[in-house]
Amino acid sequence: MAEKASESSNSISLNTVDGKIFKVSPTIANQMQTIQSLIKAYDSSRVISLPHVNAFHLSKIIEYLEGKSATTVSAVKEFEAQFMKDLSLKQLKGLLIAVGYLKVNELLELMPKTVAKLIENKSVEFLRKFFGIVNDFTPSEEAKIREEIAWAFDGVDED
Amino acid sequence: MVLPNIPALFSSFMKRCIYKANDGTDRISELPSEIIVKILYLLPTRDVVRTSVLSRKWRYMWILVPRLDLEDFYRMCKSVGYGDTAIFGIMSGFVMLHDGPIYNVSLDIPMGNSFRIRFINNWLKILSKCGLQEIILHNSEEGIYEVPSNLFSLQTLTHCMLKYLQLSLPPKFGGFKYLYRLDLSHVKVDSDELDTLISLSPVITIVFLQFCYGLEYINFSSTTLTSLCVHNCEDMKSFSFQNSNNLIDLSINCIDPYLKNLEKQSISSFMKDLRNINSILLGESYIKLLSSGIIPDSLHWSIDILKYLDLHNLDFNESRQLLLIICLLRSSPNLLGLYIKSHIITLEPELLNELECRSFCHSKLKTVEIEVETPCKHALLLIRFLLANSSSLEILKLKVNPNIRTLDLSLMLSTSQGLLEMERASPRAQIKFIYPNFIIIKDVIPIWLRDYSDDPSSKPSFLVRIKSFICDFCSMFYMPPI
Repeated sequence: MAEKASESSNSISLNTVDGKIFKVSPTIANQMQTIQSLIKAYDSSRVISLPHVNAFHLSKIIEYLEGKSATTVSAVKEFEAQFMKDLSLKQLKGLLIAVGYLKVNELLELMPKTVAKLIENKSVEFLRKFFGIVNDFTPSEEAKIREEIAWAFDGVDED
Repeated sequence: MVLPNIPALFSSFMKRCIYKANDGTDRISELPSEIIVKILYLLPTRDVVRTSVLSRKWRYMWILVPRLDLEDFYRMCKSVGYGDTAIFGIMSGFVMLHDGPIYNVSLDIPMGNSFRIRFINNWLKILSKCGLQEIILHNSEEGIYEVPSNLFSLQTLTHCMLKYLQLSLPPKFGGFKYLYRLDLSHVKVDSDELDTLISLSPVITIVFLQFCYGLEYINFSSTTLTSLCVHNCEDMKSFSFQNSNNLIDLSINCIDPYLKNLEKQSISSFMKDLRNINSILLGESYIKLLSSGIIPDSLHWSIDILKYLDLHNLDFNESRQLLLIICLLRSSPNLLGLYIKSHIITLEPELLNELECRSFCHSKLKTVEIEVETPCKHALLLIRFLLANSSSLEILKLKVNPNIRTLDLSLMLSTSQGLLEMERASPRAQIKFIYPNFIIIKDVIPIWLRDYSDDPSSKPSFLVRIKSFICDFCSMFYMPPI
């Protein structure tokens, strides 16, 4: 209990873009490299605002960082698998951006693996939708590129 | 550098590459490039290249990926009708367009003629400036061809894997400064050359050789080498670990016909340089070889560091092979695990008398796993010996894989009873007897069906057989028949 009290006394406040304030322990905060460097720059009592991260994404990141401190390797694996399964495609992408901004190294290892599995052998249309990409090629330009790499289109999954 | 016949498609690629279409026209996708590259790194090359169609921003994203996995590329292009020239042109495009470092390259292509070798050498030249760490070179053409000579200019290499090639060193080869792991499979290599290569690689740690030709003896000069695996090298005559006495893991095996070349060696001389060995895997023919020499009761010294002993295809018909195990067990007081797998059909062998167990107590052994076709007497004798002498044994697993057709349930039952009655030095030792259980019914019925379907008149006997099979099972578990 005493430990908890001391932790909360020097906990770090993070303000998300949608105005929610999260209080996290230094151990959690330090696993986000961007915040770690901000803590060093400012004094820790200040609320750190995160203009690129919303409350949902931050809560997910905190949930991950707290959850993965499970004791056994297999328990961590299970937790990670469940954590990834619970995310929708849209959430996954948003979270990945947040993770990239906050530089949470473990998630930066884990999430690309999940994404890679999801998009392997998927059609161009699927990928555009997934990454939210606007096709800015003219139809003839695109056709030309497709022709150049025709070998890469053999046997692609339907959506 | 002159590269012949790069198809027009790639010259256009290269021209546009100069602009590096990074004008940020992609407004919605905010994923930073580093993360995109991280994702692409995990995808097959085809998927990676396909992303160039997505948008202008993505057009040349793929050239940032520090990995070129072209294992299936050649085969795939061939299957959709590309010719050699086109394929090699596209591959050249991959290598030359690449931006930034390339850490891993894997190639699986025919390396038969000078046209192809010239291409590959040019790629290797470029790659040697890209910080290449891992290379897999797999020649897919029948025959054994020289390794492209520029391989030896890859100074940053840490892991090198060659397949179906001939390895000969250039005259002034200076070694691979960072090479950590060398894998050769189906490679023709001379013993001296390989030794030179290894001795010139100051941090080499793992060497994996299988199906290598021309390799007559092994005595690598390396103090950093800790893990050595030699499987099925047919020309092997002798091996010694005198100059590589820091080995920690050794795995050595070959199929029987290759054994004829090997010099006889006794277990004492085999073990004498392995003073730091932690785990040993011996395959069938080496067990045979070593058990044909003199087998002392125990070695004159104790192998204090040996923790795991793995024996593949031990022949329980041969009592000398059992004596070899006993000798090794006696000499390694700190052994933790013993694993024996045997797929050799055991006839009822000439029976050993009880295995001598006086003056022997294996105080550290914790795990024993034995896998056999049928629970023969010699195997049970060994188990009895191990149970009676291992005071801290935690688990002993006996797994039997009988042929489905000859599955003898009464033998299973008597073995299981026999195991229970054996004296145990370790009171907490758990014994697991694993044999095919109910799942087998699922596998067995189709086989019987096939056997009987040819002959419709045998249908009744088929049903009788299933019935008796189920009754046998139920009686084993003291359940009333269903």
